[in-house]
Amino acid sequence: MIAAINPLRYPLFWFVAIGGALFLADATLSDRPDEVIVDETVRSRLANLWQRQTGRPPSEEQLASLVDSWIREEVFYREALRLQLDKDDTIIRRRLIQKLTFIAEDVAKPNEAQLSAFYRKNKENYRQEPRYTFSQIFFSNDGQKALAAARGKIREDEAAWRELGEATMLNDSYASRSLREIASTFGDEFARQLPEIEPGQWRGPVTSIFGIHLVKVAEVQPAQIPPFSAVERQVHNDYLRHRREQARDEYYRRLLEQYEIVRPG
Amino acid sequence: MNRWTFTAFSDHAALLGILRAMADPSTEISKHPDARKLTDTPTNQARRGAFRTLLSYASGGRYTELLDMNEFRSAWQDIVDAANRHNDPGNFTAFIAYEYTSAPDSQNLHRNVIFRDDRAPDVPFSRFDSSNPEDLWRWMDNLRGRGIESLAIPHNSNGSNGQMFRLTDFDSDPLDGAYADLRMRNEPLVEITQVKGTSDTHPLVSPNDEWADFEVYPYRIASWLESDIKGSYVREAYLNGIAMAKNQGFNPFRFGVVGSSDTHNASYAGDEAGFYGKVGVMDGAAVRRGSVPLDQPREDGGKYANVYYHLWGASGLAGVWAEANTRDAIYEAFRRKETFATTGPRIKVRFFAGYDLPSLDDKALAEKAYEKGVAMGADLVADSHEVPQFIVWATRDARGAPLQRLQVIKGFVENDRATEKIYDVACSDGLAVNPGTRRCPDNGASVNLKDCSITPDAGAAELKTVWQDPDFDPGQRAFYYVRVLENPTCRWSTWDAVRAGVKPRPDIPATIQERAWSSPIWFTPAVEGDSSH
Repeated sequence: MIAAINPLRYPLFWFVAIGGALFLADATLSDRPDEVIVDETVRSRLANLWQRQTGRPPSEEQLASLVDSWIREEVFYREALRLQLDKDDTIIRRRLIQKLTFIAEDVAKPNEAQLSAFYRKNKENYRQEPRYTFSQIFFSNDGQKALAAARGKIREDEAAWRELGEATMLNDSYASRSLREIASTFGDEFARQLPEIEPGQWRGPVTSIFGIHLVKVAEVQPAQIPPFSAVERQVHNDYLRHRREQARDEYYRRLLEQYEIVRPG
Repeated sequence: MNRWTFTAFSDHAALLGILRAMADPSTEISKHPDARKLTDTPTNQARRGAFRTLLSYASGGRYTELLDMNEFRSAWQDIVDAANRHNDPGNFTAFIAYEYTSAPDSQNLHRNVIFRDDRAPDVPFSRFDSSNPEDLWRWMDNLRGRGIESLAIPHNSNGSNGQMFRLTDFDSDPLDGAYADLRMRNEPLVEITQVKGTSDTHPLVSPNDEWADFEVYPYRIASWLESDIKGSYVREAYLNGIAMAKNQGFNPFRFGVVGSSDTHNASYAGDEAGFYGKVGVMDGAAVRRGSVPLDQPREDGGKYANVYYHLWGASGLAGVWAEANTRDAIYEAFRRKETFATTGPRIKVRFFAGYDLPSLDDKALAEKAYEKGVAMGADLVADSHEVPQFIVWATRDARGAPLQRLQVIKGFVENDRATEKIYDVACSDGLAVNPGTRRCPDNGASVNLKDCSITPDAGAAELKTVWQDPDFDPGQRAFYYVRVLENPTCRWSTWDAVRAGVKPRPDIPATIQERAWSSPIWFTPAVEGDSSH
C-alpha cells in the first residue's frame, strides 16, 4: 500500500529546503570569490599612476595593457591569499605591522600652546653647556722667558697683545666654544685649566698640546636654558616624537585589551 | 667629538627619492611589484639582492619604470630646502649638493656637484641624462649662464680603470685646450682620499715613494673587476698635466685636492678606532668587513668573509683656508684651490711659495706670506733665476697622533717627460733631514698591536720650515705639493681585531701613517728650457 507522504510534515525536508534556500541566497547575494571586477575606479587609478610616471594620460591601447597586467596581479594576489602564503611570512608580517604603525602614529600638528607647555615641562633637556669666549697668545714649550716678557708688555700696553707671541695656526680669539670643542682644538689639559682662569685678565702659562699660552677669558656663558623661541624647532621635533610614541603605546594598549595572553606550561 | 664647520650631503641623483617613496605605503610607487624587494632589506642577502635588482633597472634602461618624476622633484626639493634651512653663516655652512654617478662598466666616474649658494636647478643632472662627464660639465656651464654656480669634485679615480685621468676624451678623441678649459672651469678640485681607497699614487706609479702603498683599493666600483693603474692616480695626472702644458700648451689636470668620506650610511666614521664602515648592513659589523674571522670558515677554507671591505679605509676630510665660515668664502676657497685633504685626523696644513717670504719667527707669518708669496692651489711665476722659498707648516690633531715628518712631492718635466721626486723637509724629535737621501731618520715611533697604544714622547705637535728645492731649475716647469705624515697608529682593522681578542688579519697592514696633502703650487718658468744661471 502506498501511503501518501506529505514531505511538509518531516523536519528533514524543512532542514534540507531551508538549508538549500540559504545556500542559493548566499551564492547569489555575496561577491562570487572568482569574480574580478574591472570598474571605473580601477581604470582611473591605473590611468593616474601612468600619468604620474610619464607625464601624460595612457592611450586606449596602453590602458588596456595596464588593465591586463592588473588583472593578472589581482588573480595572483587572490590565489596567494587562498593558499595562505601570507601565513608565517616574516616580511609580510612586518610590513603589515609597519602599515598599522603608520596609522597609529598619525598625530595632529601641534599648536604654539602645546609646544610651549612641552618646553616648560622638559626644560632641563634644553640646557646648554657653558660656553667660553677667550683670546690666547701662543709660545712654544721652551718660550717661558718670552711668555713672561709678554706679560710685562701687556701690563704696559694691553692693545699690543696681538703682536706678541709666536706664529700659530690657532685663532687669536674664540667665541662661545664649549669645553668639548676647546679640548678637541687645544687638548684636554688646556680644557681642564680654562674654567679655573679668572675672566678679564691675561693669565698663564696655560698648557696646551702645542705649547704654552697667555689666556684672557672675556666671557663665560653659564650652563643655561635658552628661551623657547631659541629652541622652538627642536621642541617641535621632540614634541612630535613624544606624541607619536604615546599614540603608538595607547593604540597598543587598547588593542591588547581585546586579547587574552595565554602562557601554557 | 669635533665640530663640523661645513658639509655637503650629496645623495645620488639617479632615482633620487624613489626608494624612500617605495617604502612609504601611502605612495603609488610603493605598489610597484619590486618595491618590497628594494626597500625591505634587513639582512645582508636581502640588501645585496636589492642592489642587484636596482642595478638591473639602472643599467638596463628600465629606470623609467621606477622614475616617478613627482617623487624625484620632491626629494630634490627636500635636499635643497634642508641645506638652505641648516646653513648658518658664521657658524655652520651647508651646501646644496648631489652625486653624479656615471660608472660605465663599473669604472668609477662619480662626481659630487656642489652649488655655491641657495639657488639650484629643478632637477639634478644624473647618469641617466648622460654617462659622459663632459655632458655634466656642459650642463653646469649652462646653469652658470643662468646664474646658478656650481663645481664638481670627482672621487675614486683609483676605481676608474684609468678613465678618470685618461689622455683622450670620453669619445676617445685627443685632448685639447677647449677640453682643458671645460674641465678646469667645472672641476677645480679632486678627492684624493676617501673610504674606497686613497688615490694619491700607487707603488707601481711611484716606485721610489716609500709611502705609496697606502690604502690602495684596486677594484672598480661595486665589483671584483680590477681597475687599471694607469690613468687612475692623482700624482700621475699631475705629471701628465705639466708634460701636456709644456708640449701642447694646456693642462686639464691642475686641480686642488680635498678628502671626503663617501659614506652611505648617513654618518661619518673617519676615525680608525671607531670605524663602522660605510654601507650599513653590509659592513656595519666587524666580521662583515673582513677584519675578524667568521664563526665558521667558508666552504673554500677562507677564514674571513668573502668581501673587499677589508681594503676600505677610514677616511677622509676636506680642509679649506677661508676668511669666514660662509658659503661664499668657502666656495671661493674651493675655486682658488686653497684646500687640503686629510685621511681623517684634523691635521692643518699651510703651504706658501715666494721669493721673499717672512721668517718663521714672525707672528704674522701667514698674513705676510699671503702678501709676499702665493698659497697652495696657486701658480708661482719665475722671477728671473731666483730660487723660490717654500713655507711648509702643519699642526697635529689634538685627538690624533703626533706628526712624524713634512714632505714636499715635486713633479718636473725633463726631456719632455714628467718625473717625480720626494723630499722630506722637516723631521720631528729634533732630527735633521739627511741631504743625501733627502730623508728624516726613523724617529722610532711604533705601535703596540695588543692594545694600539703608541710610543709616548715621539713626534711633534707642530712642524714648520722654510725650504728651498736643492734641484731647482728655473727653466723647468714643475709642481710641488705637501704631504704630512703622522707617527704610525693602528689601522681600523687592527682595532676591530683587538676588540674581538683575535690577531690582526695577516694579509692587510696592521698599522698606517695617517696623512694630509696640500693642493699643489705650480711653477711656470719664464722661458721653458732656459736653465742658465
